[in-house]
Amino acid sequence: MSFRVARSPSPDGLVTALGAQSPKLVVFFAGVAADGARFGEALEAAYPDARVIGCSTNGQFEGATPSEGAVAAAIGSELLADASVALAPLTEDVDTGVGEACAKLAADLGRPLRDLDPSKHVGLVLLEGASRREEAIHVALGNRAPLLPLVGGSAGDDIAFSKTWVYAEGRLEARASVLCILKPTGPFHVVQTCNYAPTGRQVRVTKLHPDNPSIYLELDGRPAVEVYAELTGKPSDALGFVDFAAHPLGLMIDDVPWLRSPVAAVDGGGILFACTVVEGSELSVMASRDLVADTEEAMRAAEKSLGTSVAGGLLFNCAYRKLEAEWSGATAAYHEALSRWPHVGMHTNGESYLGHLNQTLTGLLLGLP
Amino acid sequence: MVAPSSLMGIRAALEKRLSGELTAAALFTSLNTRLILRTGVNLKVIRPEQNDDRETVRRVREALDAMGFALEAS
Repeated sequence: MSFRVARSPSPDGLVTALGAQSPKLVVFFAGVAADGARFGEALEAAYPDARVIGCSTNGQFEGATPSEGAVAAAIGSELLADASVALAPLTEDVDTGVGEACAKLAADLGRPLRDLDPSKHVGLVLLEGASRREEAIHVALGNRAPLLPLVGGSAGDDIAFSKTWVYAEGRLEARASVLCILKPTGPFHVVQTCNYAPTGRQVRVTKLHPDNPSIYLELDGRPAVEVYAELTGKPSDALGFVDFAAHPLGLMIDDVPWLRSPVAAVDGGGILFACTVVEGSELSVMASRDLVADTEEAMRAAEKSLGTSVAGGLLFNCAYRKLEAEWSGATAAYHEALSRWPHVGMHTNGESYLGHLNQTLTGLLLGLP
Repeated sequence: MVAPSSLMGIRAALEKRLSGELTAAALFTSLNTRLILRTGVNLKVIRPEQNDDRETVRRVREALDAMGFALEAS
């Protein structure tokens, strides 16, 4: 076995479906109402030599259809030479908890994370998804492993942003994140794709809320809702979630959009976004492309970048993309587009690649050595 | 150690620091991405008004110091 995937509504069923093997790492995703501890414990018992990690979701998937039950991937030593795992408690200052986890990982690996070869190691993160602290977590991680590729997503809770859970080190925690350092035996590729392209129009974030940088008060010196009314052609008091979801802004880095998704209007004419930016940043107004066609193209490009056959993938899909697929009746086609290789995935409360992202599909592809 | 006093100086010092690595360009890209997300400054595309702005330079040096890249002017 190298990359075995399975789904089941029950812990025992998941273990049965994964079958007898000795994986290095087992990753599982389950709905927030599921008993994550039982799933984790069953997998730990079945695979005592494996590191087991998991988290709650806004939905999970494996193969060409979403799964009502949990999904899991068991990854063998043919693909992974090493896997180190640590739980990072979500401490008040964030940095302390991340620091503790990084120290544990460093002790396990025998060297500081900043000394790991980024061409041979990759970080996988399952972040606490309800407290909107992802940016602080990524700053803390960047301070300790600035050159390491770090990919993953924020745990989900049916998009309530109320309480998520993660599982690692034999226990379930609500206010914590999972940090995992992998050493693949073969090539690996980080996926980062979204179905939005710049329109050519840009806006400058001229004023953020002084106490909450996720609230963009002004764009181009005007109330943010006024700018969005112009973008959507709707009165500012009629703007709803669907309007906002259709008009993310893009922080363009090397021609790749790092999307910032508007969520809701707030008092004073500002808009709450799901990611922060630095005040003064110039963002691109984005226009959507076909989700399925864009995803198919991205998957082909990812495979080509890897340069070898894909053994399997771990995928982190923004809940907004899940909703977009549902609204356009494209759920089946979307999952078909993801199904070029074995994979498990989750719909997230946010995505991660070196930082916090929105409305994006991130992931890790492992290639055959 | 004399720290760079402009963004161009920071970029040159960072490139020199990474130059021994086989994947220097990729490493610079990763670091630059983190820097953009944290400070709003893109060392690959330095805006003229930012280059010598003391507050901007301080912010970038602070972020790089925090990530373990205390640089000296090259």
